[in-house]
Amino acid sequence: MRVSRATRLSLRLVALGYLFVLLAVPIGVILWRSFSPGLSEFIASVSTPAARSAINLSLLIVVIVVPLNVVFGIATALALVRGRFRGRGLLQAVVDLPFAVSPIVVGVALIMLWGAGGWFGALDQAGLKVIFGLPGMVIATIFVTLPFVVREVEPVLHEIGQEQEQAASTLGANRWQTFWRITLPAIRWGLTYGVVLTVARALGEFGAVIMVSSGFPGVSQTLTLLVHSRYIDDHNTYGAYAAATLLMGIALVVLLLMTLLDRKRSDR
Amino acid sequence: MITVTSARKNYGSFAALDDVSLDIPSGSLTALLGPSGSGKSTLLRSIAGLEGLDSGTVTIQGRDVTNEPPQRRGIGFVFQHYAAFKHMTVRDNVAFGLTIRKRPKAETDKKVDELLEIVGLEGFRHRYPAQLSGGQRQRMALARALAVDPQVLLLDEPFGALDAKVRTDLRQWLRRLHDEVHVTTVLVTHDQEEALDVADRIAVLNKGQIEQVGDPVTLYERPANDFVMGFLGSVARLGGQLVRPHDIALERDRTTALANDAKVPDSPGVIDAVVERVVPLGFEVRVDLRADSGERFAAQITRRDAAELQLREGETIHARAIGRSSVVDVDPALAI
Amino acid sequence: MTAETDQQRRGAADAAPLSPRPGSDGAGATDAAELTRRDGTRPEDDRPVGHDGHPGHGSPEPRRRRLPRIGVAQPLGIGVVTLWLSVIVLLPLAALTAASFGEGLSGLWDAVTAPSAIAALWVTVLVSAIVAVVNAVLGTLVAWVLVRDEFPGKRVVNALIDLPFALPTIVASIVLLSLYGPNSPIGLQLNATRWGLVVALLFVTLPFVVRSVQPVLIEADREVEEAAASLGASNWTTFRRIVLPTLAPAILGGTGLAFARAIGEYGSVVLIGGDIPRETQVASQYIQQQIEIDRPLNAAAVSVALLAIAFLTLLLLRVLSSRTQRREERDV
Repeated sequence: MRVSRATRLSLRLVALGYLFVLLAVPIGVILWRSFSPGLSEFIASVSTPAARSAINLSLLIVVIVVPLNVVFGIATALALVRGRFRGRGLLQAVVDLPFAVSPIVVGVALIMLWGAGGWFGALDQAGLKVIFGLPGMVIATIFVTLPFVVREVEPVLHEIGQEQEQAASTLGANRWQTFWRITLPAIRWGLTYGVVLTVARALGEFGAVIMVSSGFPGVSQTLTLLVHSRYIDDHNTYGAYAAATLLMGIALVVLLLMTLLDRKRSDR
Repeated sequence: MITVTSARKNYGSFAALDDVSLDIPSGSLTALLGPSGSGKSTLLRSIAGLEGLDSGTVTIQGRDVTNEPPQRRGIGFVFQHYAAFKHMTVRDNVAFGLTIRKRPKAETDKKVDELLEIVGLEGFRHRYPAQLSGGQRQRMALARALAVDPQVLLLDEPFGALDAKVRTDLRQWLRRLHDEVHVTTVLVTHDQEEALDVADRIAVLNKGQIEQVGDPVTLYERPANDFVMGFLGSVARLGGQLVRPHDIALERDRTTALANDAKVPDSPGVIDAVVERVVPLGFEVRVDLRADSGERFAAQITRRDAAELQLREGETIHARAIGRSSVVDVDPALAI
Repeated sequence: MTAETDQQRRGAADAAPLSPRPGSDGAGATDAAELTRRDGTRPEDDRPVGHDGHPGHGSPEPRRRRLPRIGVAQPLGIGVVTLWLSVIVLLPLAALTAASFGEGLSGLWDAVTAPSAIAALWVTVLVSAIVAVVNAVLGTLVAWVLVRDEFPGKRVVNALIDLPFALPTIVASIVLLSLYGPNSPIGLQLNATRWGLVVALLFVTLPFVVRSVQPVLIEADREVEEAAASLGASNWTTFRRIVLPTLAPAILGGTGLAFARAIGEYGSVVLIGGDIPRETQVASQYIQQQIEIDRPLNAAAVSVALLAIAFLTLLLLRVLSSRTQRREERDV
């Protein structure tokens, strides 16, 4: 289609205008509001004891969730790509399920399973507090981030096929050696991409976590819960802006990594 | 020596290998030749242990390896699409088998250097597979397979993914390599020219069974049946018999033709045919003919003969078979 | 890049005459036919390729008796994976569904049809539908501009599209509040209105349509458009008759995903929405509220309703996309 200059310019104007109003302006405003009182004010706001503990808790969740997702994500992707078994299609659907479930519903479902009155309520009575404790937040985060590693690794496994692995086995490598030396290096960029997505979502998850957290400042508040409680409970608007800006900074780093990795991935 | 005994392999109702037995002598270069779905790749992969047999046994150098995984069979395997380890340099690819075996670095380096020289990739040790051409990648894969000193070298359509020119070059090169290294080699191919060119023994497979095993000359000149004859070269049907197109002589004079034909035993006789087309193919000339019976066939004659005959399209000519041309009776010693 | 050259090489090998076969007689012709089929692509092709008319993939899975295993997928691994997915994903959802039936089907029905629940679901679906439609139009437009237009800074804009995916939803909420909230610098207060919900959901669902249309637009065969133009079609006709039908599955897919996401969204609407029952309270907020006031049955029931809407949307999408795919395959 050869579009006239006028049409092209007006289409461009509409598209960029839309993005400007929806993305750029709000982000500009919050940056301005966060930093206009000065950098020291901003740093003070994100390094209060409550903020420090929120950052630590968010990072702790990431540190627990990422390795679990990597191990089980790779295992699931391998089973889906290489496995020939009944119910593979079902497994496939289960992996996609978390994308279709509202975070709030995730929270409710976890309460129904792990909560005091739930199926595994006995655990709660025995003193293992899942809901309103760290385990609940970890499980909720795993639920929402479960598809990322699988979905990023799966296509790469498909693409590389099994010939390289077979070649390694004819050269004397056993299953572990083949996995470590051939399969893992081949999927590394896809895996990294999946991990980046997992980290971003784990740090940013709000709905599912707020349902299963007791939300005490300094104890069970993640960064996202801190933003929420500062705005709603403390009416500390500036504090909420500052914490949100911190999270946004992390998101921008993630975005940058995604863009770089995307190029790396498609280089292969 | 590789011995395959009564090998069977089914994919669902499809028999990829239907009671196949085959001996491959030590030091030989044997080609498994056959059309798609004939089971040749399955047979090779069964020898390698990349496929399991439903029944039957495989022994390599007298050792029963039927239930051994590939890594314990002492084989080298070369894949059609190279199966290059993309994230490793040429050096690391070739060294892989030795690294797995935890050989000392000095020994590994020496071996790798040697092999890279043999395959002509000395200058490429630090390149990645993506920086090599297809032919170079395949030579790297060969070096990689040879690095572990395999008892047998198995090649699955190794030149199938390469273009025609590179393919012929590599074929010659493989032949010379085999003459130097002398490792028992099995090559799967669907290309009869490649098999005739490179192998000293050929096993022709069809529909999961072995049709004939023998040296190239025997297979070409004394095919056990129509299938082998048809697969190992082009054929023309002349008076109900299969004849190679270059074994057809064309004569203007019917009497001379009959006289000449009388000297050939069991010949299909002299066939009158209309010249439909004359196609010069460089050294040779192909003549498309239609017999009185309506059957079409082609003869391949030399340029000089064609010039002498001065063929014109539409005229009638007399065709006869020369020398030993038709399918011979099945020789029990050759057929399995 | 390597894949491409490989492809070309394979293509070249395919095109090269496999065997010069003179002769046009019957036997030669059959052989030639067999040889063209032997494309020499993968070694697996040597297995049941077109065997007496049955396509290879139609035959049952290979039997694996006595197969020495080389892959990593093991029965044990599959078992562990299944267990993991069950504990993390399936069991909670099963417990949720069971809880929603706590007082039988009528209890579930009553909980879902309670006026405030119905109102929340209605607001959710209405707002999500508006968001989906806006996304379909403007998302396609943005994708078109990003693919077919050239302007300085295009790559930055392109990268920015993913920002809503990377940004925590609660941050999206705060970000939008800072602009459209109580002390809006532009004097536009959208908080606690349905328009506030729409804007928040547009923000978080922005990438869906753009990212699903973009690759299709890149791959689209521009010669077809040129052909249409050469046949006298105007730009608008070309777009409507040629471009749009090509993009339709991608637009539909992206829109459906955006709708499914909007239905369940919580973080981005929690601050800007205002949570006013029957006005701006969406289903996820209603569910959260029911948990707070200790009505787990109500929460579970509306959760199941929400899940059902999301699944129906995705199911519909799958049916539609497989139908268009089938139609295209038939056409070819």
